Amino acid sequence: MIALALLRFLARTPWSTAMALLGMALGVTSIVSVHLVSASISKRLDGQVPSTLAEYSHYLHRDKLDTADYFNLRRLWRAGAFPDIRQLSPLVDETTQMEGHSVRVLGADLLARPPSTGTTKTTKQFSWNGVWIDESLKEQLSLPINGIIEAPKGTLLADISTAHDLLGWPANQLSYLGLVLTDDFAGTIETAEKLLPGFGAGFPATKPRLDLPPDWQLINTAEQYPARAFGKSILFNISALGMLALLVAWLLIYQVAISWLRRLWPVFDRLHVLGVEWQQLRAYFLFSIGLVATFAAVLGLIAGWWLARWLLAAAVPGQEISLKLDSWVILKAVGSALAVCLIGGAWAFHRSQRQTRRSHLPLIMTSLLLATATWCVFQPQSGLAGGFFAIAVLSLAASQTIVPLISQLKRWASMIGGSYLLRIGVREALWHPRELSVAIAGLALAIATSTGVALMVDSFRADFSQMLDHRLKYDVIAEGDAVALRELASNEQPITHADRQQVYRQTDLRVNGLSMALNSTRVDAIEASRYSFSRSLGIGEILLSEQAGKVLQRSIGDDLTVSGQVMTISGQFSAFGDLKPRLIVDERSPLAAALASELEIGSIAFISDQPEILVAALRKQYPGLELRLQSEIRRVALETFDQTFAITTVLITIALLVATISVYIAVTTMRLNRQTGKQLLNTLGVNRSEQLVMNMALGTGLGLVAIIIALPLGIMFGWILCNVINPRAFGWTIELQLSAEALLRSCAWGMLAAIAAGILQGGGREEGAFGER
Amino acid sequence: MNAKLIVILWALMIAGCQPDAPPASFAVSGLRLNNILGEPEDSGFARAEQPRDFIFPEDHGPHSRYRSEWWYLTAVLEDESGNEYGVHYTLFRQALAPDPTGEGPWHTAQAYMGHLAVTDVSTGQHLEAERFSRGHPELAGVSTGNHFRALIEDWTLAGPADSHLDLALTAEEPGHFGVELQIRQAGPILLQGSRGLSAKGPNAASYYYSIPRMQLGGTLKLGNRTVKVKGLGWLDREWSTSVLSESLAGWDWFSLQLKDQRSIMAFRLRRHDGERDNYDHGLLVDHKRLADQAIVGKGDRGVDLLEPEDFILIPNRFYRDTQGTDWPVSWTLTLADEQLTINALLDQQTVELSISYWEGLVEVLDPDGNRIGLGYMELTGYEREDKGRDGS
Repeated sequence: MIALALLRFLARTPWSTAMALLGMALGVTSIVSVHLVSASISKRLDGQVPSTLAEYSHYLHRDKLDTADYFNLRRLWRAGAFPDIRQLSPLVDETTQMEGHSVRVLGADLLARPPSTGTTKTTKQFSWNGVWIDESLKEQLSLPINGIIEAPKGTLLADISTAHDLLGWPANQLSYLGLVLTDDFAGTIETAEKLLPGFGAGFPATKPRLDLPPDWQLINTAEQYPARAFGKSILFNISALGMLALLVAWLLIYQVAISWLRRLWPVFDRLHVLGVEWQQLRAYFLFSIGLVATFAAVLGLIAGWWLARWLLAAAVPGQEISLKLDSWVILKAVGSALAVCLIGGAWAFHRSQRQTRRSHLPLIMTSLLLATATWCVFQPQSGLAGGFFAIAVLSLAASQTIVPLISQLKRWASMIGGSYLLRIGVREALWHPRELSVAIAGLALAIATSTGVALMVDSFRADFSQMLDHRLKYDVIAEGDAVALRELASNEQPITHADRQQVYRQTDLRVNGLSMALNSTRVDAIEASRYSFSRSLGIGEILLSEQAGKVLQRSIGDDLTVSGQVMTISGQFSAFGDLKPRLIVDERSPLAAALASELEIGSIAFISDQPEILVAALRKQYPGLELRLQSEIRRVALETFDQTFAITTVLITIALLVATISVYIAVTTMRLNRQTGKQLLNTLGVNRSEQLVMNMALGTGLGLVAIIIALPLGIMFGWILCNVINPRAFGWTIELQLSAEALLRSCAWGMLAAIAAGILQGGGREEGAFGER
Repeated sequence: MNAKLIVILWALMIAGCQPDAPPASFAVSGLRLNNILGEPEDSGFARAEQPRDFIFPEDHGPHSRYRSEWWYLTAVLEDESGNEYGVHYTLFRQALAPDPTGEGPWHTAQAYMGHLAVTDVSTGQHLEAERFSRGHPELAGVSTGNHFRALIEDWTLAGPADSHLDLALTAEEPGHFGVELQIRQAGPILLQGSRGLSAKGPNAASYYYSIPRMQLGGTLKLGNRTVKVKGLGWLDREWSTSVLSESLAGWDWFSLQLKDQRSIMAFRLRRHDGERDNYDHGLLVDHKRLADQAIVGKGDRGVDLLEPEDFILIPNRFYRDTQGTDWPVSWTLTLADEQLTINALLDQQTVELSISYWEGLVEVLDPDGNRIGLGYMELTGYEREDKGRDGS
């Protein structure tokens, strides 16, 4: 009887059933696509670190490192001096020319620890003196090749003995040491990474306690590979945004479960009167919603995979995309759908049966969480995770204000003027807080995320644009062929149409073990102003990028020893987009002189009244040069900037779409259970256009409630993104600008989503569950 | 004999690393189980095929032209209060190639693995540690002459080796446990099998000798405790290129030192089909009857070679470890005219390092239940094939 009643009910409400399925599937789609996009990006970023080095958590550097240093350190380790070290290995890392190719040779002591197990048999081609190469070197070298590895282009891996031979190094020469340090949270981070790819970057970096001999510098993988760390930080932002999308999706799935129950409740009520136990009814309810969730999860997995492909194709055009629905993403998708549905459904069923007592526990918990979140915001050691924890707590706190806010607004609803139909529409939005609160929370969260990210992106864009204004003081930039650049720089003849010529030399070096880029040029007042520095740079002075200041933990006025030269830090400059921390010195400085043999000309810049003519002249004289106009550089820079945040926009759009469906489902269910009122209005002669006005009023009411909550929440998100997350992730400071456009845009989209959810007429064609209650 | 499967497992593990994978998984060489067992790829390595003349102290040192080799010491010890302890120290050598791969210290083409385990019967503790390194003058290697020295990182076994071995073993896992033992040869060198050529199957053999009586004294460091101990040790030396048949699943090996001055080495090879292997053997030495010789073996007075039909080993009781593996920790050894019971003094003596096996202290009882000796037992190949300890 129960099954028959359920089937009859589902058959009579196909639109609502389909919308529940669609809503839940959309939630799962959002979860799957965000996961796959993040996992794909994470994999690409991991590829920047050669696989042999990826296993090390830290690296040890010192000047003129040799094997004696290594053996001494190893003896100390074995004697128990460094209990946190689990593995220690000597490494050779040098780029050289081999058979006409530039090859990065990596050598490790492959026998520094027991071999890993559980792998397959070897092949006969194996040679102890052989090498492993990345795909780009395939068939390019005449060495015995043991295998192809995932590594950056031009990478060759070998045992340390072979690496020494290939480089022609003496047997005692080393580049640095690789370490694996004990990390109590490694397992947790690994699992978190599997569930939320890219999330690991948000965990606060622990500084290991190693009582190292003097002159040793310990750096972690992020510092060793700043480009990868930079990418991981961006990924973390996307991931965290994905987490918000996940939260919105969960709210949607929960909303579907509640709506499903509300639709079925009149049936259950009557069946209970006929003698069916509540326990049995609950089992039927959970089974039916579980069935819908399972179908939705399958649909969502397929749709999410396609969406992820499409997103990646748009974000990284031209690159091969390989996405795998692994067990983790399936677990996450199916788990989200089923767990949220069943647990949420069971909870909703429980609440429908009996009145829950008011408890102060949620308030106390939220207050405690808010206090912790405030601490995280102001304590940099809580890392990126601290910033996003604050956002999550604010979201939770905001969602708890919905019911009290609607209750308050309900009291004021009688003060609304205008036509009675309009008033009925608005009152409908405020009269049923419990039925609509989850959907409104989802919508508010989506609008707030959109607002926060829009504020951050707009502020960032403004700062970035300002930085470009400073930097692009030159009209023409010449780069490319090193020989042509040297010729141009040494040309003593004045260049026609060039009012000023600026030569930039650069090299990579390590400061305190950290990889940095050093620029040497004539830093007079004009050049210095590019870095917001008000005067010419003295020969004993140095400028640091914000990133360099952060990783070196130095500020203006401090001394910094670089390649044996003590320099005074005179200023810091923004360097959005730099992959490495950067240092700038005057070309007359003793540091530039000390590094003269290593400094290579990277670019030459010109100020010109007639840049096009200058470009034509230079192109004719130096065909090997790449010449770019300032306007072109600005355009490309801003395009790159916008492309970087394209995925962000898509994710927000998904979240808004999911929220819209959520609101729609809530409204439809609310109406289905209030057929009497609707029929009464029909009897009174309310026509279709008047119904549309009512629906619009309802949608507007819902949108307003969501915006009231989302606006301050979004501004707080924006502030945290600009002042907490970006400085911690990239070392950049972004000044938050409350751009009206960003605020209005998000609110407008949110309002449109709410109105769309209100005026959708699909549910209107269906009959109520069992008529009126 | 006792360490063979360990070496094979180790070599398999080394060799199993897929060379197509990045060297992060440490593909050490083209070695694999079959290579060791005598497939053609072992060309270039010397093989144990004919009896040879053993020359000491040179033969205490490495035989780098053979693929595998080990220095294996077990000891049954007692402190001043009569508490019993066991020590097991093994240094394994595995050649990566028959010859050095080039010039220079990194090119030795040898890999070493050290295992150290201590059993404290009174507290029920079994402690273990491992070292792994390539052959390198600063890291690991073995040298001999008048002075023997086996090194793997901070663990050393060294001392004069001119007429008798007189060694010191220093090995510690900092903050955990360690041993410092003086080891003095107290009996002749015993050539196992056919005057040192120990056949393990068709085309599979090793060179194998033991020193079953070594006097030991020194200290054990067990956490914060330092215990003064003394007792008896057994040193095993074996090298080969092709040791075992692929049909073998594992073995059970015993080194027993009886109070009546007899020493027994016995091993039982277990085939995959559950049958006993035809190449099981052992050696019974009665030290009271030995002539005053530095080296003894088959055919000498007091030395009896145990052929498969001369002894029977039957398990009595099994211990199930946390991984679900059942280890036979109690046995009956039946010789021609006597029956001995061998019991583990502690069931949990499983060595779970890079490779897993059971290696531990045992007592020997007569039919009346009287203890008549102590010794060491090694059990290998009991893990289910679908559930390797390493997760493979």
